[in-house]
Amino acid sequence: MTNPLSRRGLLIGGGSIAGAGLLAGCASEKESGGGGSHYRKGDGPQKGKKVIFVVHDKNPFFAPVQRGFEDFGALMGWKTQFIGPPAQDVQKTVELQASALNAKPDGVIFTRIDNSSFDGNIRNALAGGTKVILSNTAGDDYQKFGIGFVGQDFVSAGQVCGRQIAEYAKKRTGRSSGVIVCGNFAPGSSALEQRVQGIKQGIEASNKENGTSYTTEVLVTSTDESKAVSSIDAKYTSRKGGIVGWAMAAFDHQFVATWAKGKNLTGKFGVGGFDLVQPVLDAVKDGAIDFSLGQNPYAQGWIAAALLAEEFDPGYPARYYDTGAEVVNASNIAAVAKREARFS
Amino acid sequence: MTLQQEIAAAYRVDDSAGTPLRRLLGAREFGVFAATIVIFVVCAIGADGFLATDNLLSIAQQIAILGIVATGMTFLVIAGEIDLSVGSLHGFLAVELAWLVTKVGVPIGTAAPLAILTGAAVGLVNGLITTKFKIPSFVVTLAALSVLRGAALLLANGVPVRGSRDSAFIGLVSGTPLPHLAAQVLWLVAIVAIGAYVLTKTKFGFDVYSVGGNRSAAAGAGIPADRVKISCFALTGALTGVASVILVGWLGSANPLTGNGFELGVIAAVVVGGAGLAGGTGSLLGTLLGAVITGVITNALVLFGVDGNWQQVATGALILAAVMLNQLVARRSPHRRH
Repeated sequence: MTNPLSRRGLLIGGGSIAGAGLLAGCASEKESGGGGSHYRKGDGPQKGKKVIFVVHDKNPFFAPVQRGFEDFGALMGWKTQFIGPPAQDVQKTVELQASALNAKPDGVIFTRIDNSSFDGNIRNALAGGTKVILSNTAGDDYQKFGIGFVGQDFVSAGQVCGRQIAEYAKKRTGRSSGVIVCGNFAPGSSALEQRVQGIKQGIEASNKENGTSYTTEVLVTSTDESKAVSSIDAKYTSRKGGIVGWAMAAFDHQFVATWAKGKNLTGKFGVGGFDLVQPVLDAVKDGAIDFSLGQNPYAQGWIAAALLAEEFDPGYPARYYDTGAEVVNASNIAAVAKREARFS
Repeated sequence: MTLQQEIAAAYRVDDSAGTPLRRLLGAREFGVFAATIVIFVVCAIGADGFLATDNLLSIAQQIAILGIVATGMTFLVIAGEIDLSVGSLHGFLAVELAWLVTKVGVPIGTAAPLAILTGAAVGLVNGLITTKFKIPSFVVTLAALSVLRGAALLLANGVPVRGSRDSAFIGLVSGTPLPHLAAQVLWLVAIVAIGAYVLTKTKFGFDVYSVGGNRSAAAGAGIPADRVKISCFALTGALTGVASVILVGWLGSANPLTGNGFELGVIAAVVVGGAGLAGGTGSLLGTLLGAVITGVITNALVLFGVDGNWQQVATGALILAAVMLNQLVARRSPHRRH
């Protein structure tokens, strides 16, 4: 046992007090918001219905989608389940959908990222009397199933992004020519490819209208920050000051913001992209990102569930609901950040 | 018994002697078999609808592709090597097949064997680089993983490519020859049966165990270790090609991101099945049971109503528990005592 009056005892005692004081002096950094559904599960007009939502990739974008789905499910009294592979994987998604259907749900909500892989499961669900709604991504020909879809028109949203980035490129650099980099962290994803296509079209249209001659180059980024920053840095170095803007097909403009801050390059080019995840909103707030396009992910959960509820009772057929392309920039960031805080 | 067979026998479990019970308890697969039974019983009791015929056949369908690639990987792991590129190769070959059929116009009857041959060729190259340049296979195949994923994206131009709509092809690789029984399950059974025969009854199978168990002793016995390993790489590539052909027939298209992380599932099935990554140990029955365990866990977690994020945690924990149970039972089994 240590004698409290010995030198070792004094050192240990003093150290403990100093340590405790230091710990107590640190203010709590707990953030408010987040957590599960705001609504209490239990009774509801459709109590006991089982609904499963299968996404193709559980990236941060889907957090508000899940919340919207679970919020609506709680109001209805549903048993809800939200599943998907940790990274985009068509085969795994198909398998999860099949397992979900074997759980005999009353309804399912799927994302459909290509035009054939998921059709077998959709047909099986419909043949077995399970209601199906598509959310976020539906593919070109989803109407053939006669089912509803809640999501964004990716090409048009890309066009909005293209026009916006051209405007900010001019504003930030004053130049009428230069390269706008179109980032894509998941080549092969039809949604992101369509957005990139739309971005190019939007920039082309803006060039014609405003007499500019911006060109585009596609950069494969990553959802991994260090990998993304590394490829962004390499691209910037390779173009030697020729880059006037960065338009990313998803939330990877947050990585452009991180990189630009580190290199003291914030404001030297236009930066924009998609989605309203917290790091993107923070960067819009501090000016490292000029704009981001929201697609109302909460609605992609809530409205998809609501369409399903309507199909259960009274039985209205579901239809298309466009979640739009909301432009979020310095002018409206405060209100949007407040709204989105509950999903952080 | 030849010297080669003696070396192989030192690293294989002889489960052919004694009573059926003794043989069962002595089999290397008994541990993973016990783990499979435990998981099955838990799921049967707790997960509503788990034992439904549709569900069990759906699980079988889901593990078919994994099991086919894991068959090749078992040969490779027993030979003391590993292939981390099978996920990307799976994606590349699926895209290659769809591209050949719908963009070039090659008939599916020619394109499918071509995809399998390409897989074998990629495996051959991986094997040659590994053995001739003495570079660890995980480094070589890690590089191949990146190259093949990029190649798939380039070939597909970043978007999914539509597959063959030939009904005979679709029926052959992914139809339902018997009610509720998908063709890919029959492909899996046939491939595992042939693989098990080759591994346990042929000279090549003995050589695989010998090379993985003790390379220098195998070399001393005149076994061409490099050739055996290269053959295992090529076999893994070819079976990945078979899996890709089945996938394209099943899903009707090929996404360049197909197989993202797939290699980990394949390696997990092989390791859960009792194969040691150091080489020299493992069996195809064990691998098949390993694939069944991973498939059952994924399916049952959905039936149990487990939320997506928890499924990742639960899958990892259950695989670890299955491996531990396997090791525990294997240590107590009679063959370990000599």
